Order: sequence, then C-alpha cells, then structure tokens
Amino acid sequence: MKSRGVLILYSESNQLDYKRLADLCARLAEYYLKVPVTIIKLTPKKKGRRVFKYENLELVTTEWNNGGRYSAYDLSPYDETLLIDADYLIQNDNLANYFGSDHDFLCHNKSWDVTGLDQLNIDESMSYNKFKMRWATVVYFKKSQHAKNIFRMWEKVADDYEYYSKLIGFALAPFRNDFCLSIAHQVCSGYCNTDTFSHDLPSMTTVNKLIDYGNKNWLIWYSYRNKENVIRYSGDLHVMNKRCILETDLYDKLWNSV
Amino acid sequence: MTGPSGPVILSSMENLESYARERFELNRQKQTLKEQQQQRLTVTYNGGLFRVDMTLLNYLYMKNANAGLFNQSTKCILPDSYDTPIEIDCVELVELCDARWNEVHNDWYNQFQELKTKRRAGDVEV
Repeated sequence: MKSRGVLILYSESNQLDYKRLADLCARLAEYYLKVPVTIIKLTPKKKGRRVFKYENLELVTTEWNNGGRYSAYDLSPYDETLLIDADYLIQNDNLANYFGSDHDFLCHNKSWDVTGLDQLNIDESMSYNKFKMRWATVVYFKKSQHAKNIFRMWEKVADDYEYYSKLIGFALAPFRNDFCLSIAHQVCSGYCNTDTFSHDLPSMTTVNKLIDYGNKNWLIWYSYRNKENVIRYSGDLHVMNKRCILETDLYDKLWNSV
Repeated sequence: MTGPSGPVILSSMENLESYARERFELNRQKQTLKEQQQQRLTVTYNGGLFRVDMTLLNYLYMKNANAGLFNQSTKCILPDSYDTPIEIDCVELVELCDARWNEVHNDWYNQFQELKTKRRAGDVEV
C-alpha cells in the first residue's frame, strides 16, 4: 500500500501568523481527508513583498515569502502527496478522490470566485500574450519521473525568474509560485491542457471577507456596485483574505468544528 | 406581479431597480450553489475519475438493463473524465454513481429550498 498524505509548506511573515494558519489547515485536512499531514517550515532565500487590497479598500504591503515550494517533491515523506497552501481550508473529502488515481501530477488550471463576482477572471492567463495560468494552491503528485521533472523545472524557473518574466511577459514582482508552476507544468505537459483537476479552485479574494462559519457553511461578505451583500457557501475554500480568519473568532470556530 | 419582498409596483423605477437587484442576487446565489454542488459530483473507480452526470448514469442503467434482459456482459471500457480508458463493471459503478448523485442532489435541493426564502442579506446565516 502506497503511503498517502498532505504536505503543507509555509514561511514566516511579520504581518501574518502563517504557522497558526498552517495548523488550522492541517487539522481540517486530517479530519476530512483522513490521511496524515506534515507541516514544514521553509526559510526562503530572499524575502519578498506584496500589496494586498482588503475589503475596506485599504492597501497593505505584506511580507510575501513563498519561495522554495518546488522542494515539496524532495520534502514529502509520502508516495502520493497533496500539497496545499496554508490558506486552503478543506471542508469535504473531494480531494481524497485523487489518491490512488492514475495521475502523476495534477493542479488547478482555473480558479472561481465563490461570490460569483468573477473577480479572478484576470488570472486566467498570466501575461499579456495569454500564457495560460496554473494554480499552485493545491497540487497532487506521485513520486514519479513525470512529477519530478515538473518540480525540477519549477525550481529552474524560480531560479531564473527574471529571464522567464521577460520571455513570457509577466511582472517581475511579486514573485509568484503560480507563475513558476504554470511554466513548468505547460512545458512538461507539451503545452497541452492536461494534468489538471476536474474542478475549479474555489477562492475568495482579499476584497471579500468571511464573516461567519457554522454547520460547514461559510458566510462571505462582498460588495457589488457599492451595495453590500452576503453569500453562503459550503465546501473547500482558498481564503486569500487571511486576516479575516486570523484576526477574528472564526479561527476558533473552524478549529472547534472538527 | 410579485417580487421577493412583496408586490412590485411597475410604475416605480425605484422598486423595479430593487426587484432587479434582488433577482440578480438570487441568481448569483443559485449559481454559487450549483458550482459548489457540482464539484462534488465525481467518483473514483479502478484508478479512473468519473464525473457523475445524466449521460453516464443513463449509459450505466442501460447497460445493466441489457445485461438483465439479453444476458449481455456488465463489463466494458469507458473513458473517464481525463479520457483515460478504464475497465469498469457497470453494476459496481452505477451503485457508486447513484449514491453520489443522490447525496449531492438532496443537499442541493435542501439548500435551494432554504435559499428561496432568504433573499435579503440580513436573512442569510450559516
């Protein structure tokens, strides 16, 4: 029997407690997917910064240390690994379906905004010349030559990020793993739209916020044309607005929900 | 004409606008509900990943009916969601698909019934 598990990599930031977020993420993953979880802290070679726009339209510059995720292949203690970001909160066993499948490597090729505002449509491609985007938020891989090739290519793109930014035509800063993975994945898949999950990545952007959680349902606040509204959603969620979890009682609600 | 918050007075542009907004929000919530339920409509079988839809269910029911009526085999090859040919047993797969279909659609139905009665932001709760 091949070993299966979840791997969560995180780096510390002065503004957000990623360790705490990773602990929550691990607890939920372990409960819903029923597999062991490994959390590993990464120390990036260089520190980055990224500006986030929050729900009150406030612009906040945050430390953005997301380098080194390509090392997941070597760091993973499992034969089959689900690599997830610390801000991806699992709420069902959907991803467990992929364990035991024939695939060597899978990631998302599309993200959908759960509020229905379609705020992530600009991320369908990562450059002006429409280079198709992949998401590094959730990655499934097996210890195999194909997966290894993608991770090696990912590392190469990360090392030569400036070169690839000029070649493909995307902004040099902030550094984004999604871009590295997109290039590596496309090259190693022969530029075909293969090796992707059959469902889109459910996400909530930083301009929206979680206001409540209970009975496996999220209550999400959003604003559309200056009118405020809420939407109820249940299922896995990529919470880009990490502040609304870490700085409210939602953290405890989620922690105590399982 | 009746709107979500009572009768709509068509001569009032303000009411029409608010009616349109409420319908818009309801449709948005409905769409999100659909997306969240549809992503659960998958099953794994023999290394393949199948999206459970009416076409697949129909095919499996038909194969099983033919097996019963005409002694045909319940085994066949079906391409999964990734176009990988997978050897399946229709009896086993239809059981899995049927269970997942019912589970998801029951949840979908219940949540939609609840959603229909809550159209103002303040009414929606977890």
